[in-house]
Amino acid sequence: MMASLLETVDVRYAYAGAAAASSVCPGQRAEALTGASLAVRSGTRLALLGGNGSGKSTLLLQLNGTLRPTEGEVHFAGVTLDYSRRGLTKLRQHVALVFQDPDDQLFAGTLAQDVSFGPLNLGLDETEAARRVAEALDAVGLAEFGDLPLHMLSHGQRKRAAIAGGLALRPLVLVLDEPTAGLDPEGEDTLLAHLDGLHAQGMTVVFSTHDIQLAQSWADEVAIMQAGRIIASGDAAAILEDEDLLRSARLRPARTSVRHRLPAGIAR
Amino acid sequence: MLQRVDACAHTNRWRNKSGPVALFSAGLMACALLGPPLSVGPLVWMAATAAALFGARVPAGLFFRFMAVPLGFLVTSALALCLTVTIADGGLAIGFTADGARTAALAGVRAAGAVSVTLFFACTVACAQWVAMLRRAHVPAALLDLIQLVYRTVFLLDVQRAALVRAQDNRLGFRNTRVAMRSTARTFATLFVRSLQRAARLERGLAARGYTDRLPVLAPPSTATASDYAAAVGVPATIFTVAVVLGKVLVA
Repeated sequence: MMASLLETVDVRYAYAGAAAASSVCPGQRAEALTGASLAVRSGTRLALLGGNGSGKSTLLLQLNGTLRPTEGEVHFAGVTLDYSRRGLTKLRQHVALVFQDPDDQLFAGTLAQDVSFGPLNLGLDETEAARRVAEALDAVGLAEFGDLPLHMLSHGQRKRAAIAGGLALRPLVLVLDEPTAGLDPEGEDTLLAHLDGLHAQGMTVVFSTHDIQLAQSWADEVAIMQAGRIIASGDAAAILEDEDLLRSARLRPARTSVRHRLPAGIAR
Repeated sequence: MLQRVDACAHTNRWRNKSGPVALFSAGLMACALLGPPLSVGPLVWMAATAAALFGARVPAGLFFRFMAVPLGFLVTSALALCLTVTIADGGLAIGFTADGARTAALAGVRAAGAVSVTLFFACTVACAQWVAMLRRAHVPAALLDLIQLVYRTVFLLDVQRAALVRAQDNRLGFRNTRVAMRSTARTFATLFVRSLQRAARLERGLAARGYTDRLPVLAPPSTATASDYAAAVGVPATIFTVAVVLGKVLVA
């Protein structure tokens, strides 16, 4: 079996104040991650599935060192992550993270300036940085929008802008938190078409979602999260067939529509 | 208005000629401040307005609406200089002073010229452009990074403000003055908290992108030519010369 490019091993993580909240509210978990182990193989498209609060976003933040586990380890290319400034800089050249809300990571005056942030941080000269900006904007279909300010872009365009910011680093792994959240079907198709292009070039793509149909149609592999742990992972087709497993993770199997779940009178 | 002016700065015909535009604005501003007010004020106003409307193709409606606010203040201030209010014989007496009117006219035309230059600059040079100019002028990078973040945050918060006001309005939050004032206060309190949350989220987002202590970005593209720079210097110089000559004629 092919070795994992990126791996978390029994990772535990607690946000500040979560323990206090759980002491007064029994339904609240003290830890966001309770021993999550995930393996991402090179060149794969992996969907991380789980209900709200299952720990998907927290686990993704571990993958490029944005959060550091309170217990457990994260490995990239077989090496345990180095959380020093230098180590993280090196890691983030290879593992680009795109947040669910693009406004969490876009900051500059224009789109092109924002995308240039990563390449200039790598120490590249302005000519090379400009080349990478053009390349990244082209890859996400925003080549004509470079001179516009970010607030003049639509939500879908800002999502792609955030991806371009990561691509400009030419990463090996692209990690996306709920990439299709808030997009209409056309925006979703556009985004997936661009991600398809990147995957075809050999990029490993990890994304979180609770949309089973998206995982079914787009992922090669899936991992199911529940209560801060991975409860199943492997081939997408095989795992997504297991309806009991999906329901236990508060997910809706693809064949079950909202209509089936409503009382009969309302459904009619 | 903020959104429209910003959009205009990013889409006007001279958007990639920010260097000459800034030089032209600086020249006109120097004229407005240093030239004889009665002649230079109208000339600068006309030059800035013509450059905005016919050169940069700033929409006339936007430019004049934007101008109406500061001109309103100017008129109010001018009235205060012209008129005197005294209490005499148990009643209020409103008077007019010739000296006050002269002072108001001199200050007013000079200020109107200066205001038109400022508005021309705001409508034609985007934040990213003038920050790039300041960077070339070796203004400390930390200050420019801060300006960049504030600029982005202002627009993010403006979207949130509009959403909050809409949500309050839909729940009768503006049905009378008292309730409206309370709703407005709550909006600002919420925006304060959200701005802190937004800052924390942005910090995390930038950390994920490799932020350490700088926010380096590429300078926006420029298509300015030597002749653009020559015009940016020549036009204000000509205006200043004409204003001085006219000023002498007016005094004579």
